[in-house]
Amino acid sequence: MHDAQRPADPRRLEANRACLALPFAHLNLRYNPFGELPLELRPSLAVLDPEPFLARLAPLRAALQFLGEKGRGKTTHLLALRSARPGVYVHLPEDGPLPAVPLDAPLLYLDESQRLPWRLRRALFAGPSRLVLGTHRDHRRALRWAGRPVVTVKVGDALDETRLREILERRIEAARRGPGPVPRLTKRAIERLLARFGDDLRGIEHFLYERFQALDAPGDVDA
Amino acid sequence: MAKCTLSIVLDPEREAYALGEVISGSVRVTVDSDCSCNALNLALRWETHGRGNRTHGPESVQTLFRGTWRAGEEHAYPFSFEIPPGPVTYHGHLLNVDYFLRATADIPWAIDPKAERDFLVVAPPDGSLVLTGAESDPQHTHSLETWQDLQAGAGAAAVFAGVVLLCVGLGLLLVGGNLLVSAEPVEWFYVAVGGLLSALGAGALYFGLRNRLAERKLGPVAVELRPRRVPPGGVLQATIHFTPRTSLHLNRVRVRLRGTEVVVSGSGTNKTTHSHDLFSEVATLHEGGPVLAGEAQRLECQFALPPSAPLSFRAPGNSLRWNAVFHVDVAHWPDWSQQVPLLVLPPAEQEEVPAPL
Repeated sequence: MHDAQRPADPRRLEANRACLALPFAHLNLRYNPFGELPLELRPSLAVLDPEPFLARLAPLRAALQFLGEKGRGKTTHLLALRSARPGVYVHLPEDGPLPAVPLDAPLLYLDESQRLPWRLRRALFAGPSRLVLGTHRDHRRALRWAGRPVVTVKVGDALDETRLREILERRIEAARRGPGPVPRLTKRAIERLLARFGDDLRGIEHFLYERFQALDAPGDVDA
Repeated sequence: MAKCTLSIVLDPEREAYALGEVISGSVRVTVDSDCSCNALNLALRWETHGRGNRTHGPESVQTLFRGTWRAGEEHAYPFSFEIPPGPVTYHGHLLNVDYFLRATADIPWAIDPKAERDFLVVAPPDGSLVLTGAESDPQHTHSLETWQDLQAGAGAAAVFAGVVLLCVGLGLLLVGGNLLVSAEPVEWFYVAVGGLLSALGAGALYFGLRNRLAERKLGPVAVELRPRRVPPGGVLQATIHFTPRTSLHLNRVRVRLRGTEVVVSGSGTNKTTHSHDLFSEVATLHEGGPVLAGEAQRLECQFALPPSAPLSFRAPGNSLRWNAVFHVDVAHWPDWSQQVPLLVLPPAEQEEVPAPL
């Protein structure tokens, strides 16, 4: 005896069978703007003026660290700066083998630098490279101890309505399929997102992913 | 600013193609200022997008032009690709699979102009050429017996891990709680870690031993799922048999057929696995009641997959999985449960579908 037949989303099952529509064409988009983005696209979507940050890298052996919890945009900051001033980018994974960290690179972007083994960290900080670090842990003392000028930027601190709107609208515009209207977040939606998620951009993205999956047509989107 | 603009025009203009068909058209170039082009490349590949990390299939690339363009010129460079074997277009909730044509002009000392065009790919009428990535997955290439052996191996590993965790956890509880030397103050950190490890160990031990405990009453339990490769709209037959060693009371015996999207986003500490059920159907094989010792039980049912059932798919961090979960609920005793994976593929690659009961 069959108790239940529950296709979770019959509309999507049927759409998949027919495969007649390009993805998100009904929203005038090419993909859900709040899904995972390819790494190479992220710098172009960062709402960030790189020049003031790059200016802080002028002194020899300068160190610039982006400090913040996960989901606040540290990686996006590093990638955006790297696209403005190319350098070696290394992401330290949580598990698996440690990738090669060039100790003598003129400019090194090191993501998740809190995962550096202490011996390697000491060698890197004592070395000649200019450093841009994305980290959960403040390296200020160790960097100063190594004789480096240090600038610390707390990522997410400056997230207000204007900046959040710009970040989200860039994401939507990057997914645009063609001329014409696309979904647009209302002022109330932005206020509510900030009130609910604060500076947790990843939480906002996850919420909006589900919201956009359920949209039927372009227009104002509330949250 | 780019020195020229690109666009991709399909010929004829349509959105859906079958695997193995030729997709043709032209890349149109409108030149704004004089420039040399190291290469005008056009690439075709499938990609995933959605909630999971993006991944893609192998890329076919054609170089359409190398040379110099003059301001005001307009060019059209024809192309044609045979769409190689691969997955078909899929639009789900967490996972999407789409095909793209991407044109890029490599212009020295300038922004490289780009153009992109997506299109739909369906299975050919005979179902051939569909590669879902799941065919080579060991869980599908193994026989059911081997799969059951592997699950038994996982159970044994869980028992081992459970025993180790439990021993360490209990040891920490003893030390931290100073149960041996009662005069010393309690070390709450050790107590907390010890308690956590003990709980994890007990859970792993239960997971590893559950089926074995259940079989002490049920006797050896065997399951069958035929066929293990089924087309959308096809019929599956699920069978479970056992001969109880002792008289017992069954609460119920059920099989759940599930189709699930599973994707992984982020990496390291940010890594998150998301899943979404596309399809779920439960068949009750036994409504519950007393079963006598030595009374052989052979319970079976059939499932009809919906004609719109999406095909299995597997790529790094993105998958669409189908499986049947057999569950025997024994009153006042650990339950017996086993998951059997199956492949949903186009009709050409199927085993024989069983006749309806």
